[in-house]
Amino acid sequence: MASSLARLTEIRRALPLAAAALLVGALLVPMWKITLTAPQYPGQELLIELYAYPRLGGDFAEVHGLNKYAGFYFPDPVYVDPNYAVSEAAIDVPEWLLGPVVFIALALTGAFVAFAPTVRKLKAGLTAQFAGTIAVFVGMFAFIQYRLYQAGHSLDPDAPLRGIEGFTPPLLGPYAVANISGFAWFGPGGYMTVLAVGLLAVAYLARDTEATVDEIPALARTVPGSIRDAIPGRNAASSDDRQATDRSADRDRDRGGDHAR
Amino acid sequence: MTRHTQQSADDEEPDEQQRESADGFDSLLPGIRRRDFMKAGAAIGGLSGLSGCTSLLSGDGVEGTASASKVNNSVPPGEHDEYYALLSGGQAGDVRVYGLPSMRELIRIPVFNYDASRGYGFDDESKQMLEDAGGYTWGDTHHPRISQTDGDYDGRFAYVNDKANGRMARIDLTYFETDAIVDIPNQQGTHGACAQLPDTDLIFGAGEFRTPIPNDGSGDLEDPDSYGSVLAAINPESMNVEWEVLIDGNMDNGDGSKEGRYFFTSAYNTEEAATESGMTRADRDDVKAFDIPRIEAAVEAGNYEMINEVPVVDGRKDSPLNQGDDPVVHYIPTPKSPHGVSVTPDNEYVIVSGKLDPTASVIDIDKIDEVDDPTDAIVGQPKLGLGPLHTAYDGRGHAYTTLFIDSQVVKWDIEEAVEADARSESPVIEKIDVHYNPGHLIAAESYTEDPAGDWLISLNKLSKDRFLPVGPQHPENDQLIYIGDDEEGMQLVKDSPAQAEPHDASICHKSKLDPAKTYDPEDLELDYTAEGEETMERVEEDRVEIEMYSTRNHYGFQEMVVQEGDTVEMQVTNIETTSDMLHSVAIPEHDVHMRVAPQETRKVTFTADEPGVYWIYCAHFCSALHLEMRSRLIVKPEA
Repeated sequence: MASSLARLTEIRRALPLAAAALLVGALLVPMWKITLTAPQYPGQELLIELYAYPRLGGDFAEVHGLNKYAGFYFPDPVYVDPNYAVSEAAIDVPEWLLGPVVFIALALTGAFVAFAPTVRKLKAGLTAQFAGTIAVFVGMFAFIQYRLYQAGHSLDPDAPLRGIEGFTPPLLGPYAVANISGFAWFGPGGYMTVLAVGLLAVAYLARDTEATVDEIPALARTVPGSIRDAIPGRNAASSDDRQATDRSADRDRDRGGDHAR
Repeated sequence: MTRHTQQSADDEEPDEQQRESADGFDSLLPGIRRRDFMKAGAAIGGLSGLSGCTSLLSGDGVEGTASASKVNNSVPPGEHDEYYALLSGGQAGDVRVYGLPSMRELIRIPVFNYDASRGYGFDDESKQMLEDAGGYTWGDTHHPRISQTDGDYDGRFAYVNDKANGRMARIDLTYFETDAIVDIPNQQGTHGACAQLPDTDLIFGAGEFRTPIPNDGSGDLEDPDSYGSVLAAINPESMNVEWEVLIDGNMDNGDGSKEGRYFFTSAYNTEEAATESGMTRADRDDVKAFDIPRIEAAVEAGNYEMINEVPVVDGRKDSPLNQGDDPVVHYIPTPKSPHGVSVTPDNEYVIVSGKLDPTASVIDIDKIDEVDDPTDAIVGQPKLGLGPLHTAYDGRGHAYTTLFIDSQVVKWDIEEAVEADARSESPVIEKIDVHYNPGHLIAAESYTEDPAGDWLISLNKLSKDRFLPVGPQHPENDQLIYIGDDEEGMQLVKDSPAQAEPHDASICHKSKLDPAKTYDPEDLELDYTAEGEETMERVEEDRVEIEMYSTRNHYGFQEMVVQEGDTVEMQVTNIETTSDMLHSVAIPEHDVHMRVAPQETRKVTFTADEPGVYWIYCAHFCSALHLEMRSRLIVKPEA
């Protein structure tokens, strides 16, 4: 059993675990943030923070006051009372409730894969998880972007202000509506999620090696050499470089041998 | 504090300026920071003075800086002034806040007057405060003084007197609003006002008008000899009068020595007369130097008489407390009906302006308690001009004194005045015409231990022909003078009209004030009413209590129904958190305008005695739906 625990220091097993921790941690902080500037707020940015579940942070009350003029509302999660006032005319976004489910499911998958009993299952798990995670997030992005389009094109006809055209706030990037400039970007949770996906990618790439996390610095040093070696015409690199590469190749072979046993 | 570093920065400026201007008029480009421009102006002024005798500047350099050498006080749109100036409003009863050097009026702080724009005197709290302070509708503010710590402005409070009704008020400089007023017992015509320095331990009000004490109809009302005048010492925190000192003669202006021992007042009625000719008869009137520790010791020892619940110490010349070597009040005769009194920044001297004599008297503070003949403490007496009234300082050893009759400001050298013979004109450096008849003048941070020495305002009593005519009441004229360049001399920069009638002022660098942008609900007496917590309750048969909020663009209640004759207590919280998002509660035909700034809670109590419908509305333009921000007060007729 000790060896089974020791295996968890392997990059391909440790990183999915770390990713799982990041994905769970990301639920505690805002996933996404929108900063707004407007002439009537000189020297000030209004900030809206959005969590993976129906909750807002920052200056949402102030922004709600502005949104009212245009009839653009924060979405209605339908089944729960969020921490902000929900307008009658807001679009329904019940799936917002499922955010934590997705993140926890992905985290559990990571843990499940990390403890895979055999290398074959581990490799399959890493591949499936990486592909699945990408698929889930791409799908989620697309869906949220659709909801943003929907919200920006469902301006309340009873709103006081005329002359605001429908608009599509981007999930990431700048936009403008009326005299307000907005910029949407990752919140801390978003960055944690990106990092988690990155770790899963590395784990996937390292699926064939038993290298452990404490070897990562050494491996990282060899990467430039490997790249140089991979470039045609650079094989006449210094013998030192070649030796280093050879050593690293030997080590890989050794581990392959261990693995074969 | 920062003056010396600023000085040295200025000293280094010429080379840099020369370099910049030589290759392209940098100092004239738009967008240059105001301060740089000012410094550049000062430096160029200095350079121009030198340029005649040195070859520092090439012809091009002079050409390029020529237009910048004129002192420019303009502050470009969107930029801030360097200084706050608090100017008394006189009969207006308020304090005006200016930005310097632009001389733009930033706001007015109502003190003894009512001001609907700020809801002052309309909400229950301020209305009650004005009521408790005598219930007058006006006051006559003269001397706004900013509180100090360690001899420098601390930006906490300003204090200002009401000469008309014998009161002293405190202005909270976090919120720029009056938060306390004391109606000073036993005193009429509270004039000179200043603090015990360096830490503002007491606020003093000097009684100008002699009256019977107590002034309740008892005693001999006809004989002025039986009248008296007191100095009042007020606790700056509680605003209670701690003690008073009864003196001979009267008092005019006042200032405190920087280390806290003395408070000085000028005087013009040693004669104790009741007519103009009587008051001007004597050639000398007594400047009083109140020895604060000795007075406090006398109070401590029980050497006082309780009058109107205030311990009054006898500080008259024949008082037992003034016999011997440790008098509580020194009487220093100075010519003639002296008016302005101010202590030099280094605390060496107190300078008293002669008013009806062309001299100022320089009194050595350390000598006051040493000399046998009090006039021996007068160590200088320069002849300045006609009608010297008030003196301010630049921190470089110069004094600036207004000459009321000559319509001039005279700049003179303090040490030179001490060296020179009495009535010598040699200490005078220069004079500048002002328009017209200056009263007070004030230099930047002149009342601190470290004046800034750049700007000076001459608060002139008459403007005559200086502005477009606006009827028989001419505006006053506050003139801005640049004093930062000793080579170039005083330079008149701007005329600034003012509603009658400014007297004294204080100028404080902006870095020393920290005004709030919104209220902190913790600082207010009344409880915050959040959205959803609004209540309307009939607490008595004819009394309705309402607690609600206001926000863009509605009130907590869209309608409020009461019965004719009801007393309505309406408490409103502005729940906005954004700065400058003011709302108000204006109730037609009920004499109500209550301002509520962001996070502020105020209450107004009124009687709904006329049945009908009244549209409560927001009178501070708040947003695009401002006009729609209304609520109905429905007053149902009695059955």
